Amino acid sequence: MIEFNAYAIYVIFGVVILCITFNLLDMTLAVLLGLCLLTVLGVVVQKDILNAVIAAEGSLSLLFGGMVVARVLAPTGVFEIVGIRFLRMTRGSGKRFLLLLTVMVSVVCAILPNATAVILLAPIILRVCRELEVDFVGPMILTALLSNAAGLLTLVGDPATFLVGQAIGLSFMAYLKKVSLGGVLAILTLIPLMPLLFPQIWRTRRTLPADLKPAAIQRPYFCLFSLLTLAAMVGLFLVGEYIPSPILPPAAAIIGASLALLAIHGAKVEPIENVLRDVDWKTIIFIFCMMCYVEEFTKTGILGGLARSMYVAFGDNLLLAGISLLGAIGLASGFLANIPVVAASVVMTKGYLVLLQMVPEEALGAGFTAWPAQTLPVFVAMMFGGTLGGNATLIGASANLVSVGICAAHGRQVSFLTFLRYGVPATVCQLAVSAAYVWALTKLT
Amino acid sequence: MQRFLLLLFFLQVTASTGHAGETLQSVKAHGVVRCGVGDNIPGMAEKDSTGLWRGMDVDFCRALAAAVLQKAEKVSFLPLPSRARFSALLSKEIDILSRNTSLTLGREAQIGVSFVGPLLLTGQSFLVAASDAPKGLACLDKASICLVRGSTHVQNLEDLAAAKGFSYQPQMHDSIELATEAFLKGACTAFTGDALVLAAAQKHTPGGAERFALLPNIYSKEPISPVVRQDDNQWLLVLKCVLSALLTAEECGLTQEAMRSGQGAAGNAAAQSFLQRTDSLSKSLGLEPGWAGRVVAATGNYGEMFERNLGANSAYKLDRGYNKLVRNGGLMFALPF
Repeated sequence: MIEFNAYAIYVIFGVVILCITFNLLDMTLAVLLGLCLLTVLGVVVQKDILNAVIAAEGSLSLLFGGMVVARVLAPTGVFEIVGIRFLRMTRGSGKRFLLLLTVMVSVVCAILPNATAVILLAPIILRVCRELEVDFVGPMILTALLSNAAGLLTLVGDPATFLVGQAIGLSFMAYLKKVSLGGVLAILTLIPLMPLLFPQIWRTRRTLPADLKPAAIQRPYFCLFSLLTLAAMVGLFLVGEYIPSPILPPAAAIIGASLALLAIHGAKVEPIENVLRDVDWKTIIFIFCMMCYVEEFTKTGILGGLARSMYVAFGDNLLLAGISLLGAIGLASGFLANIPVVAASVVMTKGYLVLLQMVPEEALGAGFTAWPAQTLPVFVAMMFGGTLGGNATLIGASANLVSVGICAAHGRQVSFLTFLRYGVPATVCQLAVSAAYVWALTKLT
Repeated sequence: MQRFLLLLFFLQVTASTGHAGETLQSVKAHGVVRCGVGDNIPGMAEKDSTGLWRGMDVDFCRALAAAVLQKAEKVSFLPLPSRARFSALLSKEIDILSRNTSLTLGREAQIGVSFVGPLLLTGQSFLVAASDAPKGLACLDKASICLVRGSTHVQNLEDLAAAKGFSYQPQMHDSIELATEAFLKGACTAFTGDALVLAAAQKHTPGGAERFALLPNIYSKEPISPVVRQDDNQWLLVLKCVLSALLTAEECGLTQEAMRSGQGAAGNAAAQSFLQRTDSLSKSLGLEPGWAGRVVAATGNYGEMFERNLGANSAYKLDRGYNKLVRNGGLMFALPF
């Protein structure tokens, strides 16, 4: 019976991925139908759904909040202003556009949740692409790839880094000192790839009109209140956890969304139904369903025996174990939501290190922090695999899905295979650079 | 399309089967209890000549399967080295860890597991050569001592050595089997572990009763307990009920023979009351009625389990000691239903 459930999950998930890959079915419909089939077979139970909600750690709230705030900001004209400024900085050069985009996304994503950042930056990118007369699909995909890599810059930049960092008691500053450089390298890796992945944009030269000016803001108070809402949301992202009554980022996103809806309702710009209708529900549902699949995978105990398999395969060769984890988790994260994959891998890796007798059994719990320095590269490999592996496919990271969803909303469908053309080369190069970083860490610790 | 997908999504979320316990539901769905056991621990988990698993830990898993799945044989046993036991449990590779594991509050707090309650009460002792035994603890000074890595005995030994002022050379092994083997080969002067397990290992060894001796004192409290993950109270409760049912059955004199012969609790008012009470809990526990009767029919009551695996009816012939019921001078008693 165990085998039946496990095979049912593998087969149905495999078929779902094939449907998405070859565009046989709308991807959200495909994942939903797969889950329905698993429910009918008795594999999915309600607790799994609830576990998936817990494992999502509020990421759906972050998406919803970001989408609502970005949608409310659209009629203020603020994106137009920022877009024009950004456009001027490009001086009509596609190359400068991509490089400036790299800087902007890196800075924003180091402090904001990736998908939320992509949602907020998308209107600016679309505006610039229109003026430069280039296809916006490439820059939108690049934004997603950059956002995932930029998540490695700080401990709180990505749920996967936070999860692993928390598991080994890594402080914000210790992360900056020991791990952030790897994030910088992952971002820099994309720069030499840009002329190859986006040759037309890289070569673009446009003469910008001398009188390039944004239109005047029509409703200044609405604009001001909306910007204050955005500032409040970002402020809560940054310090909300440290105030006396802590507000976690998902709650901050919902507070931001509520205030934004109040702004658009109070200013009578348009009914809030319009805003809610424009939320990308398809993407939100898809991401949640993918988390349900991961919950089903972990339920089979597939990762359970891997700690012992790692022990048998790698013995005490931590470098080999780290590089293998980087590749394996990178591959898994290409198809599954990275948060639950990384969460399950943390248990597996801790189990491996317990078997190696590098740490006592108590290390399996949450409160253990006395990790030997030589174990750090193994955990760093997990972080990088979980975060960068998601770049490979359209479904690998929520930022990718959001990015593609925005393209679709603007009339450009991006297929699974189209995304692969950008994602796979970028991921392979980033993982190779990360492997070198893990190797260097092994030598230095 | 978007509205249709949204509708389908909420139907999917609300249509999944509702239930209280994830592990219980999973075990029922799989039709098997996945039980992590020791890798050949005398009297606790060992394979007999026919390849059948036997032992206290093994029988507890069978009792659980009888309660949850109606058949004691619906268990898959996964032998685990000591240091892999908790990670196997936490990664959901197994549903229950029944592997000669000492209940400690530290493990509950630090590892994030829950202990069901004592299945066996024992304590740390030392197996030494019979010729060394008369010296008592003095024979351990500057000696090499075999230990199982990751066990509570490691710290206990450190504390004991510090308190009694002797030094020793620890020799760590991954399992009781390996530690026993090393001791029998003379790789160490003494072997320390749970007294019951040491006694079983001694009696298991040809000529062991003459060649080796257990030091008479017990140097720690080792309540051996099944373990589950901390995130599923329903499953923990089911296991507590199974353990309590085994003990209650002994308290009220309900035997395996009576249950198997069809006699059941006839003529035994206490046993009738026990079976009725446990039946009334079936729905709340998520078990089929008659679960307690099935437990006793599968493995016998607690006393029968002990005698078969470690006591008079086993190869080891160990005294029950602390594991007698309270009314008989021991420490074991059932939590009331």
